[in-house]
Amino acid sequence: MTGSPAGTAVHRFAAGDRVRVLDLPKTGHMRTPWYIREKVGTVTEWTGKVLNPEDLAYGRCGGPAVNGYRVVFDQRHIWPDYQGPEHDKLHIEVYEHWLEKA
Amino acid sequence: MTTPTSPANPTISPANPTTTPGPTTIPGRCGYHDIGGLTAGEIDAAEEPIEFWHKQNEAMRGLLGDPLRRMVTVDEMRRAFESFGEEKYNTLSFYERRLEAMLDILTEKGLIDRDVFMQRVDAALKQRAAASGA
Repeated sequence: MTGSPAGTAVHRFAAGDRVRVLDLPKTGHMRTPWYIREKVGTVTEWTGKVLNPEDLAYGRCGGPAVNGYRVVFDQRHIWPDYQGPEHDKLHIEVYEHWLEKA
Repeated sequence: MTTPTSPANPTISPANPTTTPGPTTIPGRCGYHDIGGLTAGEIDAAEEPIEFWHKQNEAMRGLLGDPLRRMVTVDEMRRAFESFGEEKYNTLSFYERRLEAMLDILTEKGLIDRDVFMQRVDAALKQRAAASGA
């Protein structure tokens, strides 16, 4: 990833990859809601690179930019007591440092 | 990772939190953007009329966040209003939330004193009332 200009850089995951959301012990204004942490989903899209909003939220520069992904989860996997149809999904954007290969 | 020992925050938890003892249901780690899995009912899609102060509010935010000031950025503002807590968040309208959040960030940075600011607002309102009554 070194030397790659933002927007064209290499990204670790691609559509179809199964990923697990990490439960990073980070404090502050995190954009990864607690209810998807440690859940397994599938990447549907790489959404590009953005300055890290977790740092921008505190007035810091936000660099280096981070990769983002759209990840799809089964609602029943996230909420064991989910009452809706079995095929219901949650599509949510997650930054790369919150994901590992599942 | 710490194991949560306290019960999930009752205001920010799924309908039945006992079935989802997630690793991070610690109240201190939940913001408005962490809410999920609750029955929310119908979405109110009615358009709110835009008032003049809404535009002034956004113009001010634009100036405070411009490249030469960087006093209140959208990311900071978002952190501020997502930290309000559910009750305050839901009590305020969209533009009220943004105004409150702006004031919070300016206060946090020591750029304004909230009490002095409110005194000036009161004084300006009195002046306006007096002018329109004259």
